[in-house]
Amino acid sequence: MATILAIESSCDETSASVCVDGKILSNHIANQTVHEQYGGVVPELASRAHMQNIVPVVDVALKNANIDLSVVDAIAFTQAPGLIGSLLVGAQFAKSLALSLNKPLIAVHHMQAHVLANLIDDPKPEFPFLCLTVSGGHTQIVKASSPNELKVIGETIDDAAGEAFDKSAKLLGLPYPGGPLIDKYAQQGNPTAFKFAEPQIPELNFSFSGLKTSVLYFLQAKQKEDPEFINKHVNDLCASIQSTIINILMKKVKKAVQQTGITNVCIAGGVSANSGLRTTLTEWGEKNGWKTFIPQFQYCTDNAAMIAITAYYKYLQADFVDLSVSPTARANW
Amino acid sequence: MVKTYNIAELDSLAREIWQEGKSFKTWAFYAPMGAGKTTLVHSLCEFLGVKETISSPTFALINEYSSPVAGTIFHMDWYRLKDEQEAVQAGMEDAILSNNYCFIEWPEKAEEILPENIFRINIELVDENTRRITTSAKAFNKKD
Repeated sequence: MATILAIESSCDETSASVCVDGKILSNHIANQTVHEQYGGVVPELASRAHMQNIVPVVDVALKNANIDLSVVDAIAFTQAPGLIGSLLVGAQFAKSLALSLNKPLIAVHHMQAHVLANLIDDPKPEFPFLCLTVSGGHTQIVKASSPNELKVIGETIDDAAGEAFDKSAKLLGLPYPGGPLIDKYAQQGNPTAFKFAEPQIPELNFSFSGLKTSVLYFLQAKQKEDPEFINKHVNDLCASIQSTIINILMKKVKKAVQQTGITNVCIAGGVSANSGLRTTLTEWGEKNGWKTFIPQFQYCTDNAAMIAITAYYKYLQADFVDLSVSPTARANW
Repeated sequence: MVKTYNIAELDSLAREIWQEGKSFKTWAFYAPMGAGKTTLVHSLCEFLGVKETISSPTFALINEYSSPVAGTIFHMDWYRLKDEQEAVQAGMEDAILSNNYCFIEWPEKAEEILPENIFRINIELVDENTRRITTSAKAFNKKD
């Protein structure tokens, strides 16, 4: 039996999870709603909130799993990447706990954990699989050969997909966070109403800054003719922007499948909550003969269950770290 | 320097602005959204031999790269910061005071923490594919 307590605090959510032999027993997340009024996550507010949240969040995770701290076999935490002040709170808490319980400590890479969130529930993808990880700060295609062999084979050279959603929403005058609103309005709109530029980027890398410029110019020109243009066409605009972003993502996924011959395709990260992306992945899978996998929503956004499942596989390899470990804002794999 | 350019000319532009601005450690990139700040910093860092992924720091606030030419480069984006106090708390001032190269997008969010001597870059939109860059290497006039 391996019982793991995992802590995630890389950005604005404090989360703790208990995992026993690869099965998630609890995944408790405290959201920081304070950031909405600022139009984004504010680092200092985030780390202060983590400090307030971390003890109660861990308590709830243990209680929901019906697990006593004394039976925990290892403590896991998010080591990188993220906001440094936020990471430090989780790292320090995990290190202190590991020291006081005299249990091993496991350092987890947040982006690897997003990928392995696909191993939480059945049906799980068989190795090797490809994972498109899309969030506010990241856009990557990862080739997973085993739980411990993950390789980034494509990534963004400028904005992340989530940033493309949020900044397009800003250009449309929508409030923060704009991504979910685009998704909502897009469901009432025509995705082929307007055409925006798609980038020509080599290999499996992504670019979204050209789309932003394309949207900006299109809106400027249209608003000159009709100042009410955005209000009149918000649904079609959202649908067209969303469809362009999804197309950019899916074309590279298709290219990755062709290059690697791997047909198990997963998605992960906060943007995988987007209903258009979920539907498109499933459709392209059916059309092209891929097996597609989408984690439950609670395992797509930042959460400790994905840290716990990743730590479980590290535990099996006895991949532990000592107390000298420090979190880092950016880290290679 | 005042120059009109398109995306195909970015590589040669990167070389030119490096020659002009390299004696300044802090570079402030002023431009509206979609003008190509990240794209220009990307070209500049590629020119300087950065091997790490160069991407938008809007989410992370600060990216750190290493260049065989320029040493450590901090690529910052203050878009999400509200004011100077938040910029200081987020470690932006520490990065500037480290005396490494700092390429800052959205510097207008916290101008008070910029040092006296900066290399100032303005990008204006001319049309969808064309931009005008104006650089000025001079002391930054602080607000009183």
